[in-house]
Amino acid sequence: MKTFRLTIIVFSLISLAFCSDVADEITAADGFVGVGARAAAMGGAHIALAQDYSALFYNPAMLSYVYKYEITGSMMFRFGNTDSRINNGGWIGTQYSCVKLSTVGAVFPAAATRGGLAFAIGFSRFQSFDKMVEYQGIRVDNVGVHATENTDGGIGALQMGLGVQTSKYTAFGVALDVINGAENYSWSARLSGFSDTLVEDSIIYDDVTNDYDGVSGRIGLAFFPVKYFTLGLRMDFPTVLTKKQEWHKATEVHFKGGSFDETDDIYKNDYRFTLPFKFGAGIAIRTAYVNLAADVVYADWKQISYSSPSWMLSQNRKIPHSYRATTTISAGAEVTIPIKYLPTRLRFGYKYDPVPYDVPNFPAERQSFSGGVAMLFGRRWLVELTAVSTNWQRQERTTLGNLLDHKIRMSDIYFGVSYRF
Amino acid sequence: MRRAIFMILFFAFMVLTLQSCYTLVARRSFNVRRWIREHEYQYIDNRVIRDWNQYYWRPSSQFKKRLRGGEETVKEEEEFETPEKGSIVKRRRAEESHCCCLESNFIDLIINIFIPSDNDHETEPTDTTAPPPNKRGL
Repeated sequence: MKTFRLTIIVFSLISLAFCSDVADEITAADGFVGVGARAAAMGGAHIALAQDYSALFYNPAMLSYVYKYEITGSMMFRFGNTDSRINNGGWIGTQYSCVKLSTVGAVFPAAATRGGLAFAIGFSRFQSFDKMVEYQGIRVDNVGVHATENTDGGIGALQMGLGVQTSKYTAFGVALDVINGAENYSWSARLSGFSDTLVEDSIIYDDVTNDYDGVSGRIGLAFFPVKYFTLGLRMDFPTVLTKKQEWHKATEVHFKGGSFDETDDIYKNDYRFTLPFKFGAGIAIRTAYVNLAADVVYADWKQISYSSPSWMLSQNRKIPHSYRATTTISAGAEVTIPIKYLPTRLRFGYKYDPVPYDVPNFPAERQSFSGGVAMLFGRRWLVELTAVSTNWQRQERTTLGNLLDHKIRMSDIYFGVSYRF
Repeated sequence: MRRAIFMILFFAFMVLTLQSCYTLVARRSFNVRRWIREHEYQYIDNRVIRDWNQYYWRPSSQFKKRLRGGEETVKEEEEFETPEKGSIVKRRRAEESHCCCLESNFIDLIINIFIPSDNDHETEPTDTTAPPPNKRGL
């Protein structure tokens, strides 16, 4: 028992040593996914091209170019594959899948005889934390580890907004997000091979539930100088988020003599933090057969700040050294296939999406390739299918000094149906 | 700094709101031909993308039904016909339109959300102890 306590104390000291200069990961600052099947297929390049419900997210000014009532919905299917290793040991693969609602919403245009005006309301899920990773290997102190990390959930928002054409060539829009989401995290680890202690093995369970609430909004501008070209600008206001966290921590220690010890703890905390402004610009070029679009979105994640609880305020000093400014670049193309009775469009996209963390050797740049097909039935029904493949690698040093490598491959399939009348 | 940014945004918002009076919302009748004349500069009219234009660039068929005194329903195929060159379209802005101004309550809501007031006494969340680090045991 004394040995176990000594082990815990040593672990704690090592943890403090490694935790001192790096801010905690803020999952709510990452994991963004496309909103709407069309946008996702074009790499998210929709600031100047969105002309459906997704304009509420990408550029509310573009809502003003929606001239019909629209009801839309889409689902996202995620198929993930993660390879991981501990301290340069062997790779362990994990596969997982999930199905989530992506969007459901409606657009209500006004009968504008000149210009355009439309109001939209709905729900969009724009962040996904769904992931599973399995770890198996040897720690730096020669203790064997077999662990499973499972994260489920995401963040979405009840969105509402409107867009209005302010002149023959310009439009303006505003949107408000009432954010809601959850992140269910579980960690189970079995430690074995304690050679120099009385501990036979140890089992650790952590179940963490994070409930997110918040508010944000954005404004957008669109310039439509000629029918072949559109320029869009967007500014996202800082997102004020509250995270209610409940952390169940359980540890079982089995001793070599056959006895065991178990401890349970529950931590409850409410965090409040603010995510920074985001600025986006996009262009779209339209021709009869091809639509091209490209976006740039800038965010300075060093401006993330906690306002509570009080013991988290020290994180604010570490964040500028642990986070960085990111510029996300996306581009997409949409090609019209002249099929007489089944109007069809093929879409392709690319997204360069740097992770916001700036821990040394931690991030690799994240890239996504996407493609999709859209078919129009009876000029009213639009059926869309999109596939997005995202690959990236990351490396992290744990609090106990172990080096973890991850290769993450995610395939997101979007299926969307829209009806206009 | 943040307050200054939001003040600038507020005035920009007001200017844009006034400017948005460019958009004319029909109140009594909705004329599809006139609508096409007003909007044809926005899209590429091409036989290849005719169906897509119908989906993205044509007004809702519900507009005429919702407004009193609307014209008889125009068949969708006819909606594609562009007005003859030189034809005169009467503009009666004062009668059939109004400005689509936003209510100031909405602006107040936006401002209040992002600029904390001195009178706000929000309940501080529960402040307990720090949870353990992630990936315990690894």
